[in-house]
Amino acid sequence: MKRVTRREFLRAGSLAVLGSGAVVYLNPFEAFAGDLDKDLTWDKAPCRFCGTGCSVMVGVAGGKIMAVKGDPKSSVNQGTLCVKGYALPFIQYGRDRLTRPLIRKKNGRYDKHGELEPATWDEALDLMAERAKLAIEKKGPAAVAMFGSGQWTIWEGYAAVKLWKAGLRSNSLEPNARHCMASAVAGFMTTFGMDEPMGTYDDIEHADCFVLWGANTAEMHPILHSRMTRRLDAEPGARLVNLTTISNRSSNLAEREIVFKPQGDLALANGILRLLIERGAIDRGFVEKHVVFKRGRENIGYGTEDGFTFKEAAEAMDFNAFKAAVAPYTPERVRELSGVSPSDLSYLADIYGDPGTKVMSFWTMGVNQHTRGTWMNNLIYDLHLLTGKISQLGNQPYSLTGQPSACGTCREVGTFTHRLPADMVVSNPEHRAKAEEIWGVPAGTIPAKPTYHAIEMLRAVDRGDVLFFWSSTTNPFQSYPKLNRFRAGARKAGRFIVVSDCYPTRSTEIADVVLPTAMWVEKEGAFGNAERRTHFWKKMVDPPGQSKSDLWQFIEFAKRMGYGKLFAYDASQYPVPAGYSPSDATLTAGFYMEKALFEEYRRFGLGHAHDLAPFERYHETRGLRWPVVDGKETNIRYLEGSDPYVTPGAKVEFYGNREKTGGKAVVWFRPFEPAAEVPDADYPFWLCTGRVLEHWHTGTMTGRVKSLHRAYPNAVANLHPDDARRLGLSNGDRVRIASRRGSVVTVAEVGGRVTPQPGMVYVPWFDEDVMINNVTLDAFCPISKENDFKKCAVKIEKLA
Amino acid sequence: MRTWRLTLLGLLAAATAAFAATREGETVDRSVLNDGRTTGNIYTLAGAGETEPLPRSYEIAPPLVPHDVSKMTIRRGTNACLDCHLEGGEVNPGHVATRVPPSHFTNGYTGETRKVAVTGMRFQCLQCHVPQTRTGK
Repeated sequence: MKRVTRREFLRAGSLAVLGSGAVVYLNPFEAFAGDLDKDLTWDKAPCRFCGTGCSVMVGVAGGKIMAVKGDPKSSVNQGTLCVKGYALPFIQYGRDRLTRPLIRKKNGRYDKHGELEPATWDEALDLMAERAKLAIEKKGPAAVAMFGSGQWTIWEGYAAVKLWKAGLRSNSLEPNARHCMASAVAGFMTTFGMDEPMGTYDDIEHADCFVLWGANTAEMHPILHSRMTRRLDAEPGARLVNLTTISNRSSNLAEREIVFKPQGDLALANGILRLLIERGAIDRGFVEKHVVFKRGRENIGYGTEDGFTFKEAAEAMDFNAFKAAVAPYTPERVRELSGVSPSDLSYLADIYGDPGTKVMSFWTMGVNQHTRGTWMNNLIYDLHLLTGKISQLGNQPYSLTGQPSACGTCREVGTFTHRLPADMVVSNPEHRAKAEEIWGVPAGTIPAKPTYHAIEMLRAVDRGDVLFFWSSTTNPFQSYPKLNRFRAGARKAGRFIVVSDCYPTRSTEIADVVLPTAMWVEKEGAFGNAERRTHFWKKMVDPPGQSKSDLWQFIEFAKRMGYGKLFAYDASQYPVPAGYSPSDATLTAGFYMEKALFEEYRRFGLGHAHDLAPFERYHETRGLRWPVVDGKETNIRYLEGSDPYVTPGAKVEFYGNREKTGGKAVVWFRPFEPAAEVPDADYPFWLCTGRVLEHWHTGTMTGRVKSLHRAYPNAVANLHPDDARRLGLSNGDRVRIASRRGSVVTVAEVGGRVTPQPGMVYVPWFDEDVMINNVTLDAFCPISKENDFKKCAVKIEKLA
Repeated sequence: MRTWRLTLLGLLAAATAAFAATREGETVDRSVLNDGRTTGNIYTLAGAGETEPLPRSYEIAPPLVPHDVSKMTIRRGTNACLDCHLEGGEVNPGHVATRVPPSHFTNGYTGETRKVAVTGMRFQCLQCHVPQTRTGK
């Protein structure tokens, strides 16, 4: 082969240097792909992992998944995938896949102190029903709880809501999305009166500047990072700014990396708002027409005590009052609270304040997992609303999601204690009446009071207020904060814990019943991603052994609880599909269960700006972004000409607030308040947790794929070199990280993929051998009830 | 006809078995975990051009990185990986760099085609091509 000189390498390697000269390839691996095309049956599915919602082509032969490739017909990922996506063909095939139900037994009978032993489905489901009925008898319906997932399919979430709220009459239903997206939801609801982003990923190709607010997209949303890379490549004037507490890989595209102190984002946003007003860089016309100003309660607490409650008290204010409220956030004050220099602050105000610069702000867990998460969401909207940079192609505040169907299932279906489908809530009598009518249950069935949000739900298990706890498609006993309390609580006498999963996990090890569960393309499914895209897939392979889908499990449990009629539909209206393999729930029912549930669910949103297309349409497309009206998806919401719900002539209308403010968005004043726990002499470091590129959540799937496991096997403690020196630590030294709640032992890493600011340690949470959540704190945003996994105080001790 | 069918079935079965063996071999035996021992993530120190390609998980899986990448930067306008892999070839006597395939020069959705540089969507090499640790469980 031809040897290339070093100079040629450098030239060719530069993305900016585009020249002539055709390159002719003969690549054996691409040639082999042709054979794969012939031997494998290919069909589309959304990726199993993050909220980006990439479409993958899945290649099947002999009843097994053999290969995947990026779907070139999907606008989301445009033929590409990240390393997790390419690992999809292996996640089903771990050697310890659960294939039979298990019951904790001693001498052949259920016993809390027994060992997990194989059982039949009938035995497991009968025992569950018996224990659920016992719990209701002792403590009422709220004592029966389910903790679900943003990885549920839409109909799984829908079946869970219907069973819990219309059947069991219990609002004790929460998703793991509470830990992930609740602040985003509360931010949307308080600002716009309606959940989910106004824009789509199409905005990326039209933005001039991307501002990342604590979102390491290079590792956590790789394909969106690539979309931004492409935009920066195509448009030399386009820029990216990385606002972060940790120096990370996303800075590789950044014009500036601006590191702020934990919790300093509140001050930073207020400082930008103040500068924008001072400079007159406000879009006055937009503000007058489309915005009202409000302030809410302050000193709102952190929720660390059991039974914590919060009630917002909003007050209207005018622009001058708002101006006065942000006035104390001078550059000097911002520097003190956030560590951000006046020149960086001014630079950010330039970006948001320049009418000619189209700005997209992106955020996820840094902003959402925050004791003032709702406030931070509100503040980012403030920046876009005051400058009129919203609901325009390329000008969008953009809340990213972490899970494949946090939007489609948890948020849209409403699998939260306080919610019902299509942004409705249980506390509203009209909403309850509408749900009761669609569900065909008597008026008054749905309880009007929310019970337990996620954190409070496991506190209730510990206290004994919840006696039956079912975890499905999630791993709470690794992912919750302050785990020592909750793991011990679940093992107390009288608590009955059911875990549906594909693999043994930190949750199955303390369960009383373990249900082997079908995953991803082992069943028919639907996800909704972070751009309102509803995307379906068909069942492609059989689940192993006796594994069953969550949907099948919920319906079989419902029958035993006496609510089978909630899932009885007209078989003649929903015939079993021909031409592709039906899921277990459909085969057992004798009619097309997924379609029946989806068509019923659609009724909630039709005509209410949550319109979904008919069922079949989603099997024919790479997904559609709601509202889908007259067969057409909606690209930009609240913009006339793009969104059919905008009142003609209004140009822009935030119609989620039509009743409350006449269609105006709310600009909230939200002050700086300190974090729940701040480093001190005893616990001098901040602890921040998060993901890494290669692993998904608690690593139960990705940790079983060799190439991913070997790429990042251990959750190490990432430290700043100055701190490491001070502690006498070098790479590979064993360390104990301890908080007031618990400790873990791991290994120090200095100069790795991420470098936290001095005084901070970063430990990922995927590793079941490094249970970092024994250390974290159960402090949450009082408005959204989303936990802050990014800030607590720890000490670091070098071990021999 | 019957023989032909049986042969075809046999071939398919053999091909499937080979695939299936790969499936299992590409997963991790988790029973070796949970030993409470964390070793840190120690990647190879071998330089680019000093190692052989690693086997792929399946035919169209992205190749894994067999060499140290800690000093290689990917920044806007600069990509150290492409220095060797854009054209591939013998970068060091006896060591051949895997060449970037044609798929990386086109975008099937937009129809965009590049000749000399990879498309923007393919510029972040480490999103797909990951190094492997030497140790670990």
